[in-house]
This record gives sequence, structure tokens and C-alpha cells, in this order.
Amino acid sequence: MSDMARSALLTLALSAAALLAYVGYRAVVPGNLPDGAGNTAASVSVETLPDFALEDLTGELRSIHGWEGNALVINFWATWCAPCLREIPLLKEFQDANGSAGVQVVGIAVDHLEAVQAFAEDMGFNYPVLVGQLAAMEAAAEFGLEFFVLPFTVFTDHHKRILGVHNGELHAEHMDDFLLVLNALEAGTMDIDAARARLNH
Amino acid sequence: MTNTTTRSTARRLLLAVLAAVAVAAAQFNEPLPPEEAFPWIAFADAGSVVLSFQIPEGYYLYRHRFGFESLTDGIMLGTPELPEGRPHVDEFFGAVEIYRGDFQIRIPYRSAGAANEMLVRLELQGCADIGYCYLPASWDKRVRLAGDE
Repeated sequence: MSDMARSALLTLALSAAALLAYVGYRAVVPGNLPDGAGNTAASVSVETLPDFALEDLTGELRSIHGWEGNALVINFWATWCAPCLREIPLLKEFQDANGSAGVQVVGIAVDHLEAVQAFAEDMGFNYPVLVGQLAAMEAAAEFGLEFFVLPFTVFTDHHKRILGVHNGELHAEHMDDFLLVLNALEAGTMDIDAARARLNH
Repeated sequence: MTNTTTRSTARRLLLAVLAAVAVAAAQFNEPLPPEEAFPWIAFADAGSVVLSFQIPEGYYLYRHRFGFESLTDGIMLGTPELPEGRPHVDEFFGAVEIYRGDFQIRIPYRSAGAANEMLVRLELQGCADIGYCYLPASWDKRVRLAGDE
């Protein structure tokens, strides 16, 4: 057999072995379940909202626990991230419609303060935006993810219990699902495990 | 097999394995870890550092977000030769160029001494078609220079 043929065979064998090993690894290690396009729910090991504080657009330090009694939609984003910018109108609309019912959107920009301030002037946010670079990344790490992409969004109930984490762009059906689960929890027609299963499907 | 053939084969094998892992991982429809979304190897060739990428389907890198740096004293990088990217019109950022699939970037280097290896820093940023982006990454890799032909 020529060197080239031997090399090609070896490449093929190693690639197949790596593929099989990876598939096996993902099959036995708990992780995210496959689901529909654009809907990449993430599993987190953290069950209650961690406590961290970040500066808002005016430089004031705000604790994420500062919206006591509200269910939260904590949206991590950045000004250089197109899918993040695409979903902001949806979040504004959601805040308008549900703010009076004790649901609060909080944006967390993993970005430079100046860039976010300039962007915010044009965008006209109707919800608070916190900002940080390393500090915001550390805040994201508090949710127990091995790594994170942007945007990613954490949903909590009114009692700081994390219901779900969503990787990627949000769509109206994600927000509808969250409201449905939140209302069912409040009404006592759904327990916390079912709520999490629903939002992390 | 000559040493050059052996090294070339080893590089091909490494990149093939990285690509196979990325393809397998992509089947799970969840964000790949950044190292699997944007796998690369680096080697020296004819006075250049070559960065070779195999990006899995559905992922892309922004051409204008690349950065390169030598972290080894006495070794300087020249102007990188970035291949032409694919046109990509972004609704927020206008016309940009992106890379998908396989591509290579060559960066000529000059060495003031007789270093056997260099440490190269690569900065990049990319996204996935499904609707998310990765934070800008900064990765370092050792490149063996001895025997560079």
C-alpha cells in the first residue's frame, strides 16, 4: 500500500473513531436535548437566581435581586451581536404588555459602557440595562453554563426560581411559553419540575 | 515516509479529527463549544505561519474580526494574507465578509534569532446561522518552526 493510501485510510479511521466517541460521549453525559431550529434550551445546574450586581447605564450598581417579587426575563446581549439586536423590539413589547403583571425584563450587555449608552439612545429601552465586560461574563458564569453564546436569556418565576435558560434568539413563542408556565405555576396547575421541563424542552 | 510528509499527514489527521468531532457535535443542535465551532491548527511553512480552519456547517467567522500577534520575543509577524470572504449583508452592520467551511490564512514571519517555536495569538469572532454569536475569542497556539521549509 502506498504512503498516500495508508494516510487516507488512517485519516478515515481516526475521523470515524472521533465521531463515534463524540456521539457516545454526548449520549451518556447529561446535556441539552435536541429540539427545533432556533430553539436551543440550555440545562443549568443552578436552581435559584444567583446574587450579582452590575452597573446600569448611569453607573449605579444594581443587584439582580433588586426586582423583588417580580418574575424576571434576564437577557444577555451585546451591541455587536445581530441576533441580540433583532430580539430587542420583542422584549420591549413584552415589557409593555406584562410589566404591570409583575414581570420584569432586565438586559445585561456584555459590552463596553460607551457602546451600550450610544446604542440605548437610539433604541429607547423601556427596561433596565446593566453593563459589564468581565463582570458581566462572571455574572453569566453564575448560571452554571460551561460556556455561553449571545443572546442568552434566563427566565425566573416570582420567587427567584430559575425556570429555564434559552440560548439564541428569542421568538414570540418563547415568550408565550414563559407566560403560560408562569401563570400555571401561580394558579397551582403546574409544579416547578413540569415548568422547567416545559421551558427546557 | 519523509519527515515533511509525516508532518503534513499529521496535520491533515488532526484537522480531520477536529472536523469529525464538530460534525458529530452539530447533530445535537445545541451551541458547540467555541473550540469545536471554530477548530484550527497552526504550522510553519516556507517562512509563514499558516492557520488552517475547518468550520462546521451552520457556523461562520467575520473576516474583519481577525487579529494576530506573535507572543515570542524576536519573532515578528508580517501582513496576514486573508483569503477573500463570502459577502454577507447584515441587517444591522451592513455589508461584511465572512468565512465558512475550509480556509487558510498565511502570515509571513521574521525571526531575529534561531527560535525553534513561536507562540501565536489568534483573535476571532463568529456566529451560528441558527441565531446566536460567540464572544470574541483570543486563543494561543505553539507553532514549531524548526524544519520550516
